[in-house]
Amino acid sequence: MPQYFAIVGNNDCPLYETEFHGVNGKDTMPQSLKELNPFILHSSLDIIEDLQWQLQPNNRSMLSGQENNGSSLLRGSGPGGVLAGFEAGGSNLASGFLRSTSASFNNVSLGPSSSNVNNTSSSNAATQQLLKNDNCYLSRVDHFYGHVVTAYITYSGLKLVMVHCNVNGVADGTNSNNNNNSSNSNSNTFNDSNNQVMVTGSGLVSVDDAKCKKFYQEVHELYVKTLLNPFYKLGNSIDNPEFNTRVHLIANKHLRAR
Amino acid sequence: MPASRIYDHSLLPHGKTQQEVSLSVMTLLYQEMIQRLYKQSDSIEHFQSKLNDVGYRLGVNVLELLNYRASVPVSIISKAKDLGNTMSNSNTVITNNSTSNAPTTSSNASTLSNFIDEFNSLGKDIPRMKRRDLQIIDILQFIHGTVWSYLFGHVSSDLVKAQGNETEYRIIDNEPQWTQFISGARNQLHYESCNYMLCGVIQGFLKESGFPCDVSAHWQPSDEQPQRIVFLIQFHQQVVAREQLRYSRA
Repeated sequence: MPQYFAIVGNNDCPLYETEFHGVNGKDTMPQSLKELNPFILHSSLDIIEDLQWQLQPNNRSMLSGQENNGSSLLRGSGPGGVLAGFEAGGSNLASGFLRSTSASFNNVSLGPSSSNVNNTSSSNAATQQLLKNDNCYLSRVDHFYGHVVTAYITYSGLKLVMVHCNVNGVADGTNSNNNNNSSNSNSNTFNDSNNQVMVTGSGLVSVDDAKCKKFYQEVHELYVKTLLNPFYKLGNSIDNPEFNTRVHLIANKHLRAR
Repeated sequence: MPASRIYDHSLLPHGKTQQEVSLSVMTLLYQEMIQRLYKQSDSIEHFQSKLNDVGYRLGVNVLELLNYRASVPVSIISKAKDLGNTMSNSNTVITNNSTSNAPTTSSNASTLSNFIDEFNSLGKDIPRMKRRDLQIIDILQFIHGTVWSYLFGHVSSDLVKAQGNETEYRIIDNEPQWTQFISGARNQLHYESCNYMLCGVIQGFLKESGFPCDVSAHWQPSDEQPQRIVFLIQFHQQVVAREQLRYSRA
C-alpha cells in the first residue's frame, strides 16, 4: 500500500512531505487521493495535539479493545498501580470530544471483517508491550474511510504523520467520484455513503507497529542531524536532496519489506 | 556538487573521551560575540534579546540531541565508545603504513566504514524512545541535570520553586562558566545581560517542547559565590492551567 508522509512543524507549517510507492509502479496512488492526502493528514492534527499531552497516549481503546477493559487492565498492572490510577484519572479528565472519535474508531476497526478482529486480538499483547510507556510513537491516531493515520511526536513537538492509503477501497471510490464529477457538490453526501459501504467491506489498512515505529525513529534521527546543521533555520522546509533520499531508503527498508 | 555529509555522522559523541572545548577559547568567543552584539544594539533590552536569540537555537538543538541520546541503550553507547578507541588507534596505523602497505589500509578502511555505518543510524536499535517530558517538574529536572552536565560538566547548583507563585521557578548557578571573567560588582545590569545567552538556551528548550515561558537572569551574590546567577523562569499561564487540567488528581 502506498503512504503519504509529512513532517509538520510547531506552527502547523509543513517542513517536508513525500509519498512512498512500491517499486515498478506497484502500489501507486490514484490522483484523487494525492489531492486528498494533505487534508486527511491535517484533519488528524487536533487529535495528535490532544494525545501529545496525555500520559499514556497509547493506552487507547483502539489498541486495547474496549475502553473499559483498557482502563481496568491498566489499573491491575502491578507495580505502577498508584500511577496507573492517577493516569486513568488523568485520561478521564482529559477525555474530551476527541476521545469519542477514537471510541467510534474502535467500533469501526473491529466491526468490518472477522479476519481483522483475529489479527488485532492476536497481535494485541505484543503491540501493547511494544507501545507501553512510549509517548513519542503514537501508533494509529485517526482513520478516514479505510485510510489509517499514524503519528510520532519528537521532543521539540514536531509531528511526523503518515497516511497509510487504502488503495483497494479508494480505487472504487475514485470511479464513483469520476462518475459523479459532472454533478455538483450536492452529491457529496451520496459519495460518502457509498465509500462507507465499501470500507466496511474491505476493512482498514493494517499497520505493522513495530516496523512503523522503527521508520519514525530513523526519520527522527535524520531530523536531529538536520537540526544540528548550523545553516538550517528553525522552522524552514527541509529541501536537502540527501534527506529526501535517506527518508525513501528508510521507507523501503521498513515499510516495503512485506 | 559535494554530497551532504551531515547525515553520515553518528549522533553519539565520537572519539575516546568526552569532548571538551578549551575554556579560554570559549570565553574569548563569548566576549567577542558580546562585543559585537553590544555594538549593534541600541538599548540594553535589545542587546538582551539578541543574545537570547543566539541561545534559543542552541536550546532547541540541545533539546532534540540530548533526549535522543538518552534514548539510546547503554550497550550501544559502550560499543560506540570502543569503536571510537579502535578508530583513533587504527587512524594512526593508517598514517604510518600509508606508503608501504596499501592493501591492509584499504581493508582497514572498509571494516571501519562498516563500523561507522552501524552506528550512523541509531534509530533501528532503539527499543523504546525516552518519554517526552510532559510536566513542568520533569522537564526542569532534565535541564537542571542533563543539560547542565552536557554544557558545563556539572549539574546546576539548585532548582527552586517560587513560594506562593505557581508559574515561577528558579535555576541557580553559583559559578556561571561563560561569564566567570565578567565582574558583577562593576555594573550589575551589564553582568546580568551577559548571561542572557543561557536564558535563551533555557527558553528555547522549554518553549519548543511546549512550555512557553520568559526567562531572565538575576545577579544575587553571596559571600562565597560572588558570581551567583539566578535564572528566573516564568511560565505562561497556559502551561500551569494545562498542568492542573491534565495531571492534577481531582
